[in-house]
Amino acid sequence: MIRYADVSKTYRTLVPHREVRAVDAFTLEVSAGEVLGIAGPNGAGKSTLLALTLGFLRPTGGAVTIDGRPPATFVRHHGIAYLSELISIPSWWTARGALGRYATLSGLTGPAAVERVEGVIDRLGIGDHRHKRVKQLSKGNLQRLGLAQALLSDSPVAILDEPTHGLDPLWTQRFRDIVTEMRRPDRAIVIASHNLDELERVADRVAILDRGRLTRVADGLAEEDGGAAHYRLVVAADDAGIVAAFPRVARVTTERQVTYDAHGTLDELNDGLARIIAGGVRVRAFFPARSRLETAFREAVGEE
Amino acid sequence: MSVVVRYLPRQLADQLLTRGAAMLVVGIVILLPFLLRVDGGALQGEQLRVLFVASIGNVTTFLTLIATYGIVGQDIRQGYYRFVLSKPLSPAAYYGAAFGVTLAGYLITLLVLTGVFAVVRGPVWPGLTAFANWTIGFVLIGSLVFAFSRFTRLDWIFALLVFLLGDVARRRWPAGESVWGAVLNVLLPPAGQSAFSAAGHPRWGHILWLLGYAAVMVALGLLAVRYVPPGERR
Repeated sequence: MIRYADVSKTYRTLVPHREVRAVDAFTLEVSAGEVLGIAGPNGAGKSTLLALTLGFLRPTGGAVTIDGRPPATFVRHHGIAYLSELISIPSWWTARGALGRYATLSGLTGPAAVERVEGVIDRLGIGDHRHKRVKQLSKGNLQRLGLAQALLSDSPVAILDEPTHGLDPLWTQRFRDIVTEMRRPDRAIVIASHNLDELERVADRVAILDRGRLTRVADGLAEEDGGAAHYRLVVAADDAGIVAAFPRVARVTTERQVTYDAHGTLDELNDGLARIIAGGVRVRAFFPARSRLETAFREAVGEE
Repeated sequence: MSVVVRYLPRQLADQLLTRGAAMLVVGIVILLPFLLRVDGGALQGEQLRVLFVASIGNVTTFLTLIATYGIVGQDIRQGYYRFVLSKPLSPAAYYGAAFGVTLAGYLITLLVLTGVFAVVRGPVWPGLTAFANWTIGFVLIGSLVFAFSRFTRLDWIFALLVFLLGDVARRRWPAGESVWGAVLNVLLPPAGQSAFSAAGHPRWGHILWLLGYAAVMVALGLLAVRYVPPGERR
């Protein structure tokens, strides 16, 4: 559905003469029904890539197409459910007024428009703020308003740039449900985020960008991993049996609790855990020290 | 009915609440001496109308600039375009409608000023010729501002510069004296003649030339909106 073919974007300034390659030879295809995550350090080119996908920027090399058409043409006909990283809505509009306006621009009319607007107000929990002006909204509520206007769209393409930025943990969790509801067999969803945990939970694949280049596409994120894993073990008290129970284990010095880093396959880690529990060790917590995506991300951007 | 047409009332409401209010304040300040009866209420009838029309006429350029500056440029600078232009609409149609709405907002503001004046000083009707003159002035200046709007939020400064430098160029190279002067006469904004005679009769040839020039400027502005993506700096 969305096709990036050798896409590059170079920003040029004449005075002083400077060139910055924000996106470099990016090639990828996003299918209908798929959720693609885009991760990368600051300045990696994520937002530029999304702007190219919306037709807000023109590539300096290669081509972006959506359903075989240039993005601007696609947007003119279908629109895109879009949440930008910076939420820019005229400050004097009320939350309800803003959604009413965006509903009109999305092609909704009459009772259907009212129903949809009220629906997203309920869904995003901004009912108490509907009559507040945009300038009176907190960062989190403004973010929810931005997400609400994106949900007004029925477009087969959704683009969300840092969707959980400013959201509290409760709404960050609810965002995952929202993405699940947004999924449709005919819709491609692209989410750019710094939050690797969030991407790992909602995306089918994650494209990792570094300095404008696609360095890796992590897929199968939800699948069982037969390879090595890195887990963190927190126990109530130290025990000599812990070191013997795992193939590779190291004590991590922390002031408040007894913690170990354990490496091994999932089977080895399960065995080790069973052995120390059988040996009388009280386990307080056992959790991945790094998610698979985080590991992939660190490798892709050259950081251990 | 297209999305853009359905959105017109909201665009007009925004225009009146923001720029309309600013124009109203400027207009009232200009009319304040008459509203405060500094003439002791001596001026009546035709004298009052002539002074009202002349006073408003002195600030129509300023009101036009308030109404039209940054129609596209401010949207881009503030980032408002992101949510608007991700909707299924034509950017050129959206900003073309915005230009039309600024004209409607300008005329409504002038009507409100007329009403305020009528309430405080007594009935006064500027006449259709006055409104036609103000409209032509708006279209000529506003269209030039709009032509620059995609490229800079300081579009009004560029438009004023074109008028000022155009005036200098016309004096330096008069139209009838050289080919260069004739070319400049076509390219520069129409000037030097009123759209109406002293008796109030329309000079149709000149009016068509003014409106045609304005239409070309608006078309250039729309072409820029259509072909220069909003995220590109220039």
